[in-house]
Amino acid sequence: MSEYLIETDKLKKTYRVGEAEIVAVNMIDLKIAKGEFVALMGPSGSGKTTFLNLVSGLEKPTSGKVYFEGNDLTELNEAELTLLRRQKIGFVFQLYNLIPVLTALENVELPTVAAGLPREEGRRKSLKMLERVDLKGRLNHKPSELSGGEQQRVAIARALVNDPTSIIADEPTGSVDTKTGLGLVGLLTELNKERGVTIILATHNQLMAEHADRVIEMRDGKITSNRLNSHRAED
Amino acid sequence: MTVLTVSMFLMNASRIRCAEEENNPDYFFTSTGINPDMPDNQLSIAVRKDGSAMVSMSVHARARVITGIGDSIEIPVPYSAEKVRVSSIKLGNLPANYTLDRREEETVIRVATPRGMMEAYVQVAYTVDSVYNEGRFSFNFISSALITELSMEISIPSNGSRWILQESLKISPQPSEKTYFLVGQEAIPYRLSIVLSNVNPKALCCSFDTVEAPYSLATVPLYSLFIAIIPLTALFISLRGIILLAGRAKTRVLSVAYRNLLRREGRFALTTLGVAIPVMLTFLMLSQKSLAQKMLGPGYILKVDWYFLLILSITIGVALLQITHTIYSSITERVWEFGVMKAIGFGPSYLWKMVMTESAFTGLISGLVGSIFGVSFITLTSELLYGQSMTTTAYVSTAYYDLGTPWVWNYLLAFASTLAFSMSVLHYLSPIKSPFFTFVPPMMLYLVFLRPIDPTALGHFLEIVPFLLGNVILSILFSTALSVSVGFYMAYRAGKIEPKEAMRRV
Repeated sequence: MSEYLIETDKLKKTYRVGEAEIVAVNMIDLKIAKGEFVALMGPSGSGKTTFLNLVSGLEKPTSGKVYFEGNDLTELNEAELTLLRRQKIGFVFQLYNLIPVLTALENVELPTVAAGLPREEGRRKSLKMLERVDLKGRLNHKPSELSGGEQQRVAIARALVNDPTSIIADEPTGSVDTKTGLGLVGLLTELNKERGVTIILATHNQLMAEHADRVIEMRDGKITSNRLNSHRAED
Repeated sequence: MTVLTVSMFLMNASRIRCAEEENNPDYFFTSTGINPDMPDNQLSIAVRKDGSAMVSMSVHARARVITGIGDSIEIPVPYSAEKVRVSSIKLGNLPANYTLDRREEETVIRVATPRGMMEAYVQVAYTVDSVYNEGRFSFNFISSALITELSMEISIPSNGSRWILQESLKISPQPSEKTYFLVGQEAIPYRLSIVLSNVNPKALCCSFDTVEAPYSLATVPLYSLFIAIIPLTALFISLRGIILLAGRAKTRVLSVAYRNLLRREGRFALTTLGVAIPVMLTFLMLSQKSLAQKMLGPGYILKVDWYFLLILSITIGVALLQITHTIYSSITERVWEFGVMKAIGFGPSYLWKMVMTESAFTGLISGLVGSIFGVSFITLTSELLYGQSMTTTAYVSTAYYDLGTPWVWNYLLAFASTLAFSMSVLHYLSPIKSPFFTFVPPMMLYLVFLRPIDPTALGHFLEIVPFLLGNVILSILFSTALSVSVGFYMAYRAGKIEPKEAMRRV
């Protein structure tokens, strides 16, 4: 077993838009250790989202390799990738992406349904997760009845309910105000410490990034800076 | 001695009814006939409530054997001579002599004619005591010609205590072309109207039995309520059952699919209607013919009109497009949602199942609604097409199986009950629980069914339940199959949506 959760080797992803070829991720070599909290910074179009998609197996690279816990993602088929996402990765999206017809509790339960957990166990774990994100009183509310911050906390609970080893969070604070955003990042930091879950957080907000162990800056598909955050912000 | 045979050409003509009989409630059976070619040839029979019958006829009698020399005209009466009293007999305009010939089980009125007379115009009027015995009476008219049309009417005073058992009603000769049964109830006397066409009767015979009404008016509302409660309860239980099962199902696909549909309730309602209409037409196709066949009896062949088939195919085509569009747009606008579910760890098979369930659900509900429309619609169209209340055979109409009400009223009631029924369905499906939806549909149903129910109508209803139910099931299967076949490909497409689409939500 590799000590790294994610290793990339000359990772490259290009898109073709008409005649032009756009390089979204350009030859990235990066190692992310287990239990690390990494912030991925960069302006829009810098390749953050593509990079996250590549390391979580949502997209296949044009060239290069991605290893997730030592497994080469480029070698895995669709079903194996589905299994990997189900067991190892939790996703948090900018726009929460909760299923609108389901209540908070049901949304959190959804991954346990996908994992084929018994109903009672799934419910128990979901309740525990919602309690952890301080939403015990909002179990039966639909996403439309929750505030942005609350929705994102439901999404975090959903991401964690199957006890994954990592959370991929793509601009989770992008749709909320700074105060709420800081609260969410604080929550992620706590969960990182408590559970030892690796967190990869894409953001373009310096304030949010200050909570991470390491800050990686990207520009035009390349890593421009990779520094340990010595004066990590405490919450 | 030759016998002149009485030849009669009869046709429905109320104008020849005697003045004293007109609108007289003392008569419960009247029958009239006239020959359109020879308007002087007339027949009228009236049976009084006391059981006696009055028969009068004016006929042009002709010698059957041209070489023979007639000296009498025979008119057979199928009752013993003690009961028969001749009131007047005329040859031309002159009173004639007659004798009563006693025969076994019948009497022959023999009118003496001048020797050598080849044809004669005879007017006969006679009364028979107690012909109406235990609901039976019969008359024989020897005839050598066709009866073009004969109409009969039976009415029973409206004391509400006796019903005619419709299955006991026997008419001979067998009506060859059309039989219209119109049976009333409540405050309206029972009336039975039969039209015979193009038959060559040796005898006209009518018999029926009556029974004491098993239901008094006081018990009727309860009984009606009972009738209304059954389908409502069944519907409620089945829908709640589906929802409960959906909740318990391990994968909860059903529950999610169901809520996905209701989330876009407006579109769901439109699609349901769009599918329900062709389903209704299919239901009509399936039911109309068999129902009409049942009503009109054997020998009456109904054809399926080609334009009906054309309209049916067009509406089915439109329904297919409608379902396709609905499922297609519900998938395209939820691409991110499918992406999320994929990212969370659902495989294509789950999404496939979910979309398939949504399609099947649409088909199921549409089939149900379409059948309800169909059942109601059939009562209306049968009214228009067959000129009579075939409502006797349709479910909703069991309650207002009624001669006296105009068809518009029946039409309104049919739609009120349909509306009530649909509202009940929507109520139990809908997450909105307003008092209006809780109380109004059952109230409407109650009002519709409040009207007294005729047990014979109930009998008819029970008779047609199997194939009506069969047609409902067929229609539901049909619309479900329609939706599922469209959903099949769409669900495959949904399963193929890539998880990265989750990131693309704008």
